[in-house]
Amino acid sequence: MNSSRTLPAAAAAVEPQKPLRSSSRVTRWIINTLVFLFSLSCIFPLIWMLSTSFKSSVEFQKSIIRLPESINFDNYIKIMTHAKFFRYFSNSFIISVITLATVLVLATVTGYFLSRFSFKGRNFIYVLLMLGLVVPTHAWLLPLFLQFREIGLLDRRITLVFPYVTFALPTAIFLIESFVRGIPEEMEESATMEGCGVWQSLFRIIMPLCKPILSTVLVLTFNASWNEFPFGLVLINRDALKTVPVALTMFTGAYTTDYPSLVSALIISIIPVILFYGLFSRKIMEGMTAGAVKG
Amino acid sequence: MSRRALKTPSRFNMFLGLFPTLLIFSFVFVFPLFFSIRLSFFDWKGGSSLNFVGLKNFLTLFSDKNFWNSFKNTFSITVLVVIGQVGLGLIISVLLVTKYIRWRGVHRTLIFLPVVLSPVVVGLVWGIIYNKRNGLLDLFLSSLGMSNIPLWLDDPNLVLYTVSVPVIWQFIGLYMIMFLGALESIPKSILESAELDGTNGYQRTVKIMLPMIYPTFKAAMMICVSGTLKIFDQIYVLTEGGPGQRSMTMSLFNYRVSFNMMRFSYGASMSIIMIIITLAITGITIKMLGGRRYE
Repeated sequence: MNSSRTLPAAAAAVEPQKPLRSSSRVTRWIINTLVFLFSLSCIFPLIWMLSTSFKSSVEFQKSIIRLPESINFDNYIKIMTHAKFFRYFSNSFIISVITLATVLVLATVTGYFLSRFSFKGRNFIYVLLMLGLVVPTHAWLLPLFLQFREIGLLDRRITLVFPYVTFALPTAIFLIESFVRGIPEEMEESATMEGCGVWQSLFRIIMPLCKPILSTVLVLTFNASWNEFPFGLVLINRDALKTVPVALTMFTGAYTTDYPSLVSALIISIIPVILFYGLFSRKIMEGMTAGAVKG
Repeated sequence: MSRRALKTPSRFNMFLGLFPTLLIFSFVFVFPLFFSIRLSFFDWKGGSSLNFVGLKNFLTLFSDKNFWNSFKNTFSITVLVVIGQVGLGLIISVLLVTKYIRWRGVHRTLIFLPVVLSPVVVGLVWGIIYNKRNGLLDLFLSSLGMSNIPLWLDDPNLVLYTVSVPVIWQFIGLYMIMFLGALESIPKSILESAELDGTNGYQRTVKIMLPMIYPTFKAAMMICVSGTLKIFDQIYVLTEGGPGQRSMTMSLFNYRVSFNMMRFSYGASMSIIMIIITLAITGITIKMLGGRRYE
């Protein structure tokens, strides 16, 4: 980046509002255009999908880029009724909600215990969770499949909750643990004096204070389970129990020529995450980058 | 070190608090790992005959051209993706903190948006973008007057690049937000005094801002390397590893061997090697970056 600051410091301080030199005006223009184009590339596919989803197949064949002649929801109706997409949608939703509830409870308790008390095996738990964060989860597809097959846990409604909870826990626990660290211990000390047990302190005093971090964990966990693909692909075989991402990959075969229908299915599938993103974009950004910024 | 004034809960409460997390973690994470290790020393295709074969699976694996091909592809994709995601994420974040840029909040929100989408959805959307007859990319290039447009996903010399682009595109926002968080936490006074000393914008970026966010850079590299080494979803959706084996990655090859060819013990030994390779490469990356320290 070029800069116009060649004047001595004193002069610059006297005249801070001096007009931009033409070279910096060009720099400003170039930078703004570049970043603008990139932002546009991030949103353009979504706008194009939305526009395509309102088109008929014939209309789409005529031009893939022109705006739809009229807004009609035929594709959406087709996807939701004929293609049984509603079932996949509710499957994903139920699994995500069960995962979410489990993760919130387990991570709060574990995160609280790890941050407040020293006990035997504490470091072991840390190492275990850290490992869970960095290993390639795909290496668990086969052994988990074989293990679940052995005990009859494949193709159940509860099946996917196990891997989803397990692989969401490390992040959730670390986030909650470091948040609880920032809450002064006096909060519970006074409660203990009044005769509160550890559970009462945790659920009556600490948990309400943790609301900000719990909502971060909530959106992150929901997002992860809603979007998860490989475990859904491997552990579920019954069509009635399939999740949205798996169903989408099957659609491409059945609807190869019918792009507007495929695109409508894609739009429906991203509604929950886009909705969450619209409401909690700050929290999602913070949660996903929390570990990294601390270094 | 925080003082531990709080009374440690009774053994029973401790057990009650930590047991559920440890149980599910052992069941889904620890046990399958040991199961894999054990299985990799046997010859087993799912039937009742289970023969101990020692290191045979590993020896077969080390001379399996297809496995090494998948490793090479994964490694190439990881190099491309790390350069793309961390590099562009860094550049965009530096541009966003300059005084030149407008609509900062809008850019942040839009560039981060693809991060929350499912990789399956992103893969399918880019499948449409790359499509031969109905693709947006071909339409765009031919409107610029380009003929001779290559077959994006079917060209063996191009495919590693074309599958990397959607992955890079999707997660630039994640790294941008990480770096923005670090850049914004640099005290204003440091930059101001540097400005008074007569440095220009370029010097301030390279000599002050970049060294100060080095810990974040390291964390970003670690997340990016370990995350990309397990790449699966996008490749499954875009090319299924083709043409031939040109875009086959380790995870996808492991999936094919385990679930299409049903070579369970061979797949298990591959899982083990995958974990070792991923941890080793991630470790080497950290080691290499750790050499230079800025304070």
